[in-house]
Order: sequence, then C-alpha cells, then structure tokens
Amino acid sequence: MSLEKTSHIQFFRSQQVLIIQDSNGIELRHTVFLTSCRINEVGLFVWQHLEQSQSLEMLCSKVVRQYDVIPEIASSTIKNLLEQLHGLGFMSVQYANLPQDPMRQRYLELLQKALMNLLYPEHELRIRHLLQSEKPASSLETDRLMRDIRMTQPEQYAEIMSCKQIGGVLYNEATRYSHTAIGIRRLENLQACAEAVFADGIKGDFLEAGVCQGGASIFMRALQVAYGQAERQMWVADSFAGLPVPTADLDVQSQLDWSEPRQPWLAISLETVQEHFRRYEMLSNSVHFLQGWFADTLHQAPIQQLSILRLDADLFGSTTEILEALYERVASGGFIIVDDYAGIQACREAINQYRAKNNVLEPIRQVDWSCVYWRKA
Amino acid sequence: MENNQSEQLEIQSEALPRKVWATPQLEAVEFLDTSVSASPGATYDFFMYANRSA
Repeated sequence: MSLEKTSHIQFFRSQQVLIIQDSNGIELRHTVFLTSCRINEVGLFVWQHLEQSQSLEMLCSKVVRQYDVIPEIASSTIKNLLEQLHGLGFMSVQYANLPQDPMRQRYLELLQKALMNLLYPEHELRIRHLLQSEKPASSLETDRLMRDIRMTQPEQYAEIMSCKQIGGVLYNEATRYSHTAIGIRRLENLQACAEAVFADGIKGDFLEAGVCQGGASIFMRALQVAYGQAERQMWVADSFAGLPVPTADLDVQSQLDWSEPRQPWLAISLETVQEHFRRYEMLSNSVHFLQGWFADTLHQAPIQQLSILRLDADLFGSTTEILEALYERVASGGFIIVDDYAGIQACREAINQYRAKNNVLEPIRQVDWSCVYWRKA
Repeated sequence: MENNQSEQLEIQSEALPRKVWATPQLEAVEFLDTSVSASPGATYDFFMYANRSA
C-alpha cells in the first residue's frame, strides 16, 4: 500500500507469517498465501517490532537507536518496506480516523468467502468428479463419494482451497463456479485500497473494467456501503458478452483469443451480473453498468473522478483502451489496480507502455503472483 | 523494579556503538503455489520483469 499520511496509521504484522532463518539468510513465508521473500537483518529488526502495532515514527526511532543511519533515510526506506509488506498481505494497518468496527470486518470477511465460494467449495469437487466419472451419477457408491468428497479427495480439496486464496487458475476451472475468481488476497487488496481512500479523504467513485461474474465489483460496492461512503458511485464496465476477438498485434501474436466461442465462461450476461448484485443486496441507483466494448463506452461515460480504477481486461488492446479513457480521471491519491499484470505479458506491456508514454513513475507494488497496483501521486 | 531494569537496558543499549545500517527491502519474492502456472496463456514471469527493471 502506498501510505500517504503515516502519522495516523498503526502497522502490525500478520500472524500467518513464519520467520525461517538458515544459511541462506532470513525468509518470511506467508502460510496462507504461500508467498516467500527474503529480508536482511534490519528488515528482521523492523519485522520483530511489528508484533505490536507501531507508528512509522515509533519504528524509526527504534531503528535509529539501533543502527547507524540518519532519521530521514530510516523513515523513507522503512516506509517503502512497509508498503511492500502490506501490498503482499504480510502486514495490516489501522487508521486512527477510521473507527474500528469488528462486526463490519466480520461481514467483509464473510462476504469475501461467499464471493470466492469458500463457504461450500465441495460443490466444485463434485462437479469435477461427475464430469470425469464414467460411473452413473445416481449410484449408491457415487452418492457416498459426493457426500464425503472433502475426505475422499483431500488433495484436490486442498488445491481448490489454496487456489481460492491467491486467485489461481486450477485446471483452467477456477473462474467458473464462484462470483469472482480473483482470490482472497486480491479482495483484501481492494479493501486496503478503499480504506486508504476513505482515511485520506480522496474523492471519487470506484470502477472495475472487465468484471466477469461481477464479484469484485460487488465487493467494491460493499466496501463503500460498509464504511458509510454509499454516496460514492460504483461503475461496472464490461461487454457482458466475453472478451473481444483480439486485434492488437501483441494480442494476436500471443494467441489471446478468449472470445466467447473459446472461453464461454468469461462471457457473463448483464442480467446475470445484475442478479448477482441483487443477491448480495448491492444493486442500487448508485451502481452503474457500462455495457459495450471499452473503446465505445468509457470515454463518454459521465464519470467525474475515480478513486479506485480496477483493470481486469487481460488483453493489450483492452487494457490500453481503459487507461486512455480513464487514467486522467483518477484522483491524486487514488489507486490503479491491474489484475493480470504479472500473469499475462500482453497486459503488462500495455501498462508499461502507457506508464512510459505518460511518465507515470509511481512504484508498482505486487499483490500476488498476478495482480499489482500503484497509487497515483 | 522492572521499569528500572528496562531503563538500564535502554541506557546500556544507547551507550553501545550502533550497528551497521543496510537498507531493508524485500528480496527474492517467490510464489510457492505452482498451480497458478496452469492458467491459459499465463506466462508467470513477473521475475523476468522485476529483473529487467532492477
């Protein structure tokens, strides 16, 4: 997370991270998101002091007492480290000006699980088994296997559960049976971005371009509602007919034809997405659906200002179209989140080219194996 | 009593020469779940990008 006004922020580390020290150095390993990174001795000193919540100023004063460094250098480098750790989900923050509400947090965590189908993931195993099985679906043997599938297929169950944490694409199926496929880590990142926007008073609506089943957009709207920011608008942009047949050179060369005849599960109708919003009680006059190809809808969309722009468009062409139409409308202090940056080269090239062409220098932060974000200066 | 000990440790610590500083940053970020590589068209090459930009 890019943290603006650090004086009202308390930092604390995740309880799900192990410290492993061996001959290769010091490793931090997240046991749920299965992410590993190495830190040096100063990094370990900072990490150890994050067991209890700390302000940046308190951390820096401890570091300066221990290490031969001037406060300005300590402050800027530790802030950078904290942003990296926060981006990867190794650490959480609390804002003094955002009242803590345990029930709100429980609601949002339950919502994340519902959107990822983590409340009843056995069905995904059952569907896969039935699709692959040659035995009749109504036999007694099949009934028993269906009933106990979590125990009879524990490895496959564990794979699904792990995949849902990090938005993995297990057997090319993970997008199919949940309302979002982006994973818990990226939903947490959305919440962290929204909290930063609310705490720092950054004005602007939220927009997701490329929504598939709509789950991430539903969560974005839920964040607005749950934090008492319902006056902000939620924009949901998609063809609602799948990805376009690629025309940009890089998309064609990369053979990224994921249009409906090739990837029907990426083509979810407007009516279906609206129904999903309705089921989560998030459909309202503040949610706007922009139906059509991005080049045709985004430029003229009546959007004044955005504080979160989330891109999940996969292709070079589509990603470029979104940035050209909307980047200027992202407020200073707003966030740009790119779902496919590390996972799809064509998307990454679109982002890199736009940033280079428009002199965008803000650091890109990793969220997981695919998603990144940056905060507009 | 505990406070006095703590203060003494603090004073002793401040009296010691400070350790050599090294910029703290994340290195060798690695994603350990290999199932993500099954993504259609995914190149999973963030590190290639990271290495280029470094």
